Amino acid sequence: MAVRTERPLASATARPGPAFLGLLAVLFVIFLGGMAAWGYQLSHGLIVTGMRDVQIWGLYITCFMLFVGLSAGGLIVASAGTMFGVRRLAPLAPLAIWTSLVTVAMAAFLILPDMGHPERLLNLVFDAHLTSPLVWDVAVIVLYGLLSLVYLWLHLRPTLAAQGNPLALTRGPLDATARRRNERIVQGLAFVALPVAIAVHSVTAWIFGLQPSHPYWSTAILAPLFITSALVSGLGLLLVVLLLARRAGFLDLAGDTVSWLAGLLGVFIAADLFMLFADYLTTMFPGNATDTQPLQLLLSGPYAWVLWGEIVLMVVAFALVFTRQMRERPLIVGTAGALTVLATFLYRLGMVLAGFRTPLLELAPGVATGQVTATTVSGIPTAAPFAMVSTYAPTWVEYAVIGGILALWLLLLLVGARWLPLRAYAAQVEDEEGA
Amino acid sequence: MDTHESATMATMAASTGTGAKRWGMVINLDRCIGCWTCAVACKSNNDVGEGLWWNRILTLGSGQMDVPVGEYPNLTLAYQPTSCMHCDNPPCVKVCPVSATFKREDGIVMIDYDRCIGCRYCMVACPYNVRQFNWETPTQIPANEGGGWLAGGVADPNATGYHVGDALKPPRPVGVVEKCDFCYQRVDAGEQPFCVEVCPSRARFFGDLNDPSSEVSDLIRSQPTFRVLEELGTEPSVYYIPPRNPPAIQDPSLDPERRQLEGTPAPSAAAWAGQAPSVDRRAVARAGSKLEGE
Repeated sequence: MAVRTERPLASATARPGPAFLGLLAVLFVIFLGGMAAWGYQLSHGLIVTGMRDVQIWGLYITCFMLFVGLSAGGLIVASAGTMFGVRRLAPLAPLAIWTSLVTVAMAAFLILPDMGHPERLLNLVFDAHLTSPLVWDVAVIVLYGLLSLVYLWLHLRPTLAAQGNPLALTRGPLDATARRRNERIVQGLAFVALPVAIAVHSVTAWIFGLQPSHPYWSTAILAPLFITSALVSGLGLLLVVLLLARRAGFLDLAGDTVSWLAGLLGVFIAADLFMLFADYLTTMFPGNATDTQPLQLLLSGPYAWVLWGEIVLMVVAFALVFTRQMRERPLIVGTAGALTVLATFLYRLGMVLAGFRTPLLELAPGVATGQVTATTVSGIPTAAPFAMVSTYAPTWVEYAVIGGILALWLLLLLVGARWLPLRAYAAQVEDEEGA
Repeated sequence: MDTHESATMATMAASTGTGAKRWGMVINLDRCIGCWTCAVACKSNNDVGEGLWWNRILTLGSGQMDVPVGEYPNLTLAYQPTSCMHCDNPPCVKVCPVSATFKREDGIVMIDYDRCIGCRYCMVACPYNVRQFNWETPTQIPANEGGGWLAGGVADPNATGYHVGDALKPPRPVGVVEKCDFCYQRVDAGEQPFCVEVCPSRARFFGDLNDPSSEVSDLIRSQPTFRVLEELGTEPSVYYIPPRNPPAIQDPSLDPERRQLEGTPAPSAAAWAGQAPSVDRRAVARAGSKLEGE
């Protein structure tokens, strides 16, 4: 398919239409609704979630893992553009980095409703216990967020300076020397940002993978697996964002750039499925019951829909970007991107469901669930005081809180795309290339 | 670690003259009758809210509480009281992001309830599921009209429940993790944990593992013992003397029909040691061979 350049780009200075403002308002209301649900949870305790002492973590942590992974996309584009000299990606970098920044911020946000005492958050700083992978993750996520912020600022700086914006921290437009220096810093930073990005996904994996109490997670391949699943879903999300941005007339996206990124997506999918296969084969082949049990839940047990759903979605996405002709069709590439995000969500969900399904001590009556059993319906207790397997089902509170955070995520993405000079820079890079 | 080795190490620690205590427990499963007295006493001594159990009595092998293993008349029934193992290498302490859970010099693993942020990472890390989260404001024995008592036995007309037990026990708010602390107030005052005190069949023993002359050290030296999930390297301070007639584990994957099809002999008492998913197989095997050797 030919490059779509006939469509004129929407003007950055035009006033936003009522439909756009209406969408922002709706998203804000959904966000407020989510926060109200969190308030309800804070006043009643986490008893209003579906989690109990067998299912210690649930949908909040699933989405946290997903969002950490999704934030990988921006950095792939930005660093591939600068580190590996894929010049055609350079104009996309600001939007990609903005997406990463907002996504990783939402990942951090998703931790808060999972905490019993979010008001003690700063204990993580002042009482930080350095052997805890959670502390490593907090540190590396904060670092990643700050780096993304600096990265974005450096990308926007020439534009901001040209506009006379004080945020550029310079007087007047950048001259050629200053711009070259700015460009060199951007390139240098890519060499720092990429290892930090790898660390973010690895450390998030290690929160789980360093726990021998959960055999399903306790594998050395978990960090590489988290990196590939982050690459797949991050790039998948970014393709959706870029194609939507092009459709909205926000940026000009060359057809061969989409095709190149879609090809990269195919490579990432193959790598991710290979890691998954290697993990499963290594566990299943020796046939140690303790280790194979959680995998059986996913292969043929109650959570088979999770694993097979993931595999089917990934394979379909791979097939969609397999041929060059398909890779040039935005609708197909966008669908493939969305499917990888969904598939990765299922992978994260499987980790939490199969990981917590049965306690290591499989002895009756099991684990005290932590739920008061005095509540009765027609004289029958509503919950068992002990449980040997988890029967987790998220409640409306969890859906509402996560929905609210998703709405905030979309809101920030749109606000940034609309009001940050994310594409003035793109036009500028193109001018330079042309000249 | 071999029981013999640990006893030797205990001797060594004592002989170096550090004088450091390491509190530990020995539970004789041959004596345990599964009455839950220790579990209930624990709740009342520590003012543990409804729905939470610091100490619970697991039935070995059958997959159902109080249901024996085997076919009539060859039935066996044994229990494994399970609470915090006060590991020497505690996974929970390692992962706590705010140092709210920590190990005292004397080996007791504790939680600072004022510092806990309620992330539940320690519960994820604990292989024994002995940590309990306050999903809601803990409910004590419901009060009558006219109020109840606050922690420490203070009467309060507005209280909705009766707080019971040790006045020194810090109260736990909603949103924090709590667990067995070996009744540290009693231990610090030279007494025994309440579960040891109340056990009607005297199955529980408590003492200093570093003192070779203590009752627990003597039991570990003279009896076959195992520690739960010892292969994980957590070094629990709770030792179990296995039952003399251990129940065969009923592996759900080995139902009778399939066993017949595959020609596998029914699990015997010896196989229990090898198949129990919940006890340290090697430790039980060692303990078993020690028994045979006697």
